[in-house]
Amino acid sequence: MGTTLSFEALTVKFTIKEDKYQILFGRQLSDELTNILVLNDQTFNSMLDQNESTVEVMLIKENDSAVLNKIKTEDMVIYDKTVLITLCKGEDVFVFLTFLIIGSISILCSWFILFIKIMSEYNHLIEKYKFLSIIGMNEAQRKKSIVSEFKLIFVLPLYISTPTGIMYFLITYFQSSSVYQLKEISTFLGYLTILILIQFLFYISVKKNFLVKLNKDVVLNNEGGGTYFENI
Amino acid sequence: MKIFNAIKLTKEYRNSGDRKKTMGIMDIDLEIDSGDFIAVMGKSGSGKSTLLKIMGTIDIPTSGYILIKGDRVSYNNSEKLAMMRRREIGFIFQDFYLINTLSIKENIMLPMILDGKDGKVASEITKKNAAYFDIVNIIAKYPYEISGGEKQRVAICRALSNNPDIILADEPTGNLDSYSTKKVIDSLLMLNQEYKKTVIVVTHDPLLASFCKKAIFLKDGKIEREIESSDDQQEFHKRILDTIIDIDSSFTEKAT
Repeated sequence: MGTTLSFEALTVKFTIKEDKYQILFGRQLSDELTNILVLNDQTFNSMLDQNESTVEVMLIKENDSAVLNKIKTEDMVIYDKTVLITLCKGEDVFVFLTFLIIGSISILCSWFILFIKIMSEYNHLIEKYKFLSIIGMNEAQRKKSIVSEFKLIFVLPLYISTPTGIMYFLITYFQSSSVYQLKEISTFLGYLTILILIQFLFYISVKKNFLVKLNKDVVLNNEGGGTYFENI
Repeated sequence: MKIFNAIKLTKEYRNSGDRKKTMGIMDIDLEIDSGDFIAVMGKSGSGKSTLLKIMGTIDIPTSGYILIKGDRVSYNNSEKLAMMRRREIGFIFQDFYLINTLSIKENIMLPMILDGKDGKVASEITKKNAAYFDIVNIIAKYPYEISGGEKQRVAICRALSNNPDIILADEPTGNLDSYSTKKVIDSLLMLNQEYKKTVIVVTHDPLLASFCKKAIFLKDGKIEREIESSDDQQEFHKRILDTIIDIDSSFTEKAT
């Protein structure tokens, strides 16, 4: 089974294999399929430069005989499925990676800002907790209060950003007609897990160091009669 | 009944740089009866704030000890100390120490919440006390929205939250104008006379001290003199001024 199809100055003879028609991608003009042609990668790439702006991705029903007849009988250009998938995936992966990089930079910046914020407010926090200790806040209550404040700073953004990231991924996944494969999904989930883990470790580390420093500064149980609360 | 006893209290500070010792207070013996209203006076550095901190268990004496309601204060158990500060002692500071992110009502409720009281109960007590101290109209506001005098009355109200027997005030009128000072003095008198609290006030202000039942004068970390009121506030005010001049002149004589 073979066919000869023309595109501009090119006339190429193709052997059409049945399974190639299961899913096809082609140029879509208004609501109808026109100018569809199956090409090999080399020819397709050479043509793409001329037609890039009009290339669209679309799905043709499996074994749609009307479409297949249309392809065979009319003057159509059919693009090879794998080439287009690679092209689409490449674009999506590029967008995906761009978002990951921007996201990573944002997260790193937010950590830095949070760290600076905590350190710059440290003296104010010391004063606050000294006062609260004076009116009867014990160590357990102090720890609980600080942990709550830190959770709000560290964990709340994670609660917001994680579902947002997953939602973005799912929207992209469905919009791209399943061009994402298991590999990409695994990469995304792996990256997300690493971010959450790093965020969690950062939170634990800052919280621990802060509590140690705060306890040292708020309560000074000096031997031989030191000051219990300094400078208040 | 003795509510507070200090036995041979001494407090030395070490300078952070050369580790030299500085004397805060020295061999102070003090007995305070329940329901007293006492002013602790003296120049800056005389040791009055140090004494107040030790009385409030927020500072540890170098030697000597204190008894609150007959119980010797131990500094080894921080949980017990925190509970004592929460339930037995109310603090009033010169700088108010109100938390700006909390409303006035929440600031007043704070010691009760720390003590594990139910929110509804705490709210009721707050409303009742706020009515006594004429701050009902501001309890929904935030500290940065009210005047200094109002802030101090909020602090007084907060000190009363857990119904402690002892109220310690460190320069409560130090940052206030004369109108607000009068209001705060009235509030402190109310604490002592109507709520029957033992009030100990550290102050430089002879007017505030003249409303107290007793004035203790500290000098160089020691109690220099004690005078008691004869229930005539103006006469006591005059005696306080005379005592200050007398103590100052003895210093001048020594210097010359």
